[in-house]
Amino acid sequence: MIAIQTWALIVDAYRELNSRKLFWLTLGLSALIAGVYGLVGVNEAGIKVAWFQWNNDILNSKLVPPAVFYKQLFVGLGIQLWLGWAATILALLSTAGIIPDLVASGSIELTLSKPISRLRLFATKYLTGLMFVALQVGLFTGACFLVIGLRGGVWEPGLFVAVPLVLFFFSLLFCVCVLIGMVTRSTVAALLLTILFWLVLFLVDLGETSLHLFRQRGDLIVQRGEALLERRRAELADLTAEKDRRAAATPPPATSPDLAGLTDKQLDERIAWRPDDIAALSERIPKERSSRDTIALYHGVLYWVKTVLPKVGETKGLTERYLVSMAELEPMREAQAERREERRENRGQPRRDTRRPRGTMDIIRPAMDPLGVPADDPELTRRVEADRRSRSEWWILGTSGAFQLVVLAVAAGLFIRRDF
Amino acid sequence: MNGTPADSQYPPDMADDRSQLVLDLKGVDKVYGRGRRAVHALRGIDMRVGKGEIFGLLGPNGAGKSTLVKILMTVIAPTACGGTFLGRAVGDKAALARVGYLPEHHKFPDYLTGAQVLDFYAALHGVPRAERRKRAGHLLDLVGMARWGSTKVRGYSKGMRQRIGIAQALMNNPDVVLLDEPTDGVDPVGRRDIRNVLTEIRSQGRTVFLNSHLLSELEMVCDRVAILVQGRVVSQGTIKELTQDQERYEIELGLPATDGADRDAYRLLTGSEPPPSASAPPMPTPSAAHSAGLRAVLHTGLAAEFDRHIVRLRTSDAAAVQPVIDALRARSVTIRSVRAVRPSLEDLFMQAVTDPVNGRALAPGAAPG
Repeated sequence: MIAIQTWALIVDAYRELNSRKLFWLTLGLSALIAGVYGLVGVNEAGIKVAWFQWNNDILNSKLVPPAVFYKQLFVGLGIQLWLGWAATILALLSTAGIIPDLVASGSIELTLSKPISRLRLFATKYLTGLMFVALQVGLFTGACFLVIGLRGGVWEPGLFVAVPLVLFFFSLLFCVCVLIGMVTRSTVAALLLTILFWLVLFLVDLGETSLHLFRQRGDLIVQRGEALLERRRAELADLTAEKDRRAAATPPPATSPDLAGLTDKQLDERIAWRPDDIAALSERIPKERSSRDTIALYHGVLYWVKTVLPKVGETKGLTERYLVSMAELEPMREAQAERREERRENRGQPRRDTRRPRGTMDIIRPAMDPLGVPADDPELTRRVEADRRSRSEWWILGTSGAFQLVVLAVAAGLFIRRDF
Repeated sequence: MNGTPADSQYPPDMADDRSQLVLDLKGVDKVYGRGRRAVHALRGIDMRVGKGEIFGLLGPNGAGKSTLVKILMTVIAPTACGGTFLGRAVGDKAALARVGYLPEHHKFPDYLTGAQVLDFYAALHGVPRAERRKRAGHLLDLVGMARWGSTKVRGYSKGMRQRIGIAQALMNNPDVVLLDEPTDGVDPVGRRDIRNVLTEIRSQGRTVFLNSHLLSELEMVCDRVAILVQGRVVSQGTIKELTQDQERYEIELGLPATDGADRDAYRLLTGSEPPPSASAPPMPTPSAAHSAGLRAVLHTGLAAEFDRHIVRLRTSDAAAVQPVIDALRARSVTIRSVRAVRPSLEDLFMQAVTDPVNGRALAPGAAPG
């Protein structure tokens, strides 16, 4: 009997989806995007879209192997943009009415009067709602798998990891939609409040991500400042020792040929600004440290807020983590960093510290802020990326799953106990 | 099984042999809400329904009929509930496999065809596919919807939806069918068809539990009825049982139909002057519910009520009426007609919903907690 009832609910869900134009619209758009995906290719010169070649010295098969290129394109375009935003909104539009329709007066009496427990009815209805996304994601991923295989010659079954992850991501929103639908019995309220909840999650994620970036930047500033202070002190000590050596009645042999080659004037010029620099750094580093600690405090609070909320962004991000390793991205990132430095040089700006050969010494005091860390600093980018990738699956999926279980338990409890 | 004191309200066969009962309710209570907003919808409902009968549940709006049916169908949880439904505790889902149900104002998914509606709800009952197909064809034919089985429900009239609803309620070949306002929105021909379906179901030994406002419909098909008022069963039994002590004879006299005619008739039959004020409560007959006529006990021992030029005698025995007719004729009173009156279900209903003290209709709806 259970099998007959469950199959009847699944068939009914399919008929309901089939009757809604949005289901076919979403499927059509998925096919279109998969088709566009197939038009894009990568070669040694750059990217080719259909017959149009776009030469690029970063995005080419020498730096980005076709497999990585297609996986990145799948994650960026297919998962993050299409399935993670547009298709999710269409899916919510299609499924938001499932629970309000179930509990609508005149309909619920018919369903509850059948020999099927309320809990099983609720669970089956919830799962049939997810069926929508499972079908969409499964077909889209399958199409992309074929496109990559046929177009790029890379058969990447790992792509299918997107199916459970995107499904899980959608379920985090859908469970809220179900709860609101159960409480309000209104499709419009369920849809709008779910989208509002999604917006809140987005803002919390944005806030946490930004604070995480600032925290990492603060760390980097403090570390670089401490290193620079140490270096300035060592340089001053070396320069002073060299001056003392020359001032001695019988100068001992020089320890550094570089310093020995300087004239007295050059030596004095180099010594002149270093004490000020050391004093400025000694004053600034504690301030930077304090600032970093304040940011770390706020970040810590937001991190815990985020911990109890579903992590929709990170869940989608897991697809990239599973599909593309940091090592695979490294050549492209380095090329991008190099390109940025070249642009700086072309604008008349010096290359940044990180690209300067070790052991060289500033001749004059740098005009720019020695501790300035721009948002696109390669080291900062690498650290943020590595830190985010180091967040455990348990933290991302486990806590999100726990949130979902709580929300579903409340919704199921309401459904089981309510008089209709 | 020996009957309890409460069993006295049921026929002996029901009180003694409970194996013949499909429904045996005891002390069903339902309170909606809490505190000041609490509404006591059902107050200790006791009810029995036997196998193979058509049982009618009637009552004014808000009396608790739908609440009671929804409790049986597990749509609503009772505050307190004793007794059994098909031999199981009320609320046991397993019993529902043997029950067909058509709720009032039902709403079928409009993306389904009539045949798909039957198939879907039968599948929720656990009916195997082959059986569903076989029954759907037969039932669509039975309710006159064979031509429309492949049309989407959204294109149906209200009457067509009712017909599909009844077919849906029969798809699991139930032992009990609960129909809430099944003739709502159905034309006279459709109503007759539905009555025929109900009697057909009864002839198969199955029970029909009917909830309707259309008293004439119920009267035509019901074996037993219960009247629910403000959450209480005020009477239940066969229509004959409920009306037998209210059967009467009405004698229409050839007196002018004026306000003073009742006093003239009173004098003629009692030989005495009527009391100055006619404020005594009316004889509890349904048709007199709103009158405040004169009453007297005649020398023959019959209770009589005088309503203008009509004398009502509270008896169903024709022989007992003859002395009264003789007495009237002896006084040269013209008798226009003598007729035996048996209260209709509507009369019973009106009596049940009328306050016996002031003769006014009881307030509709459930009573506050």
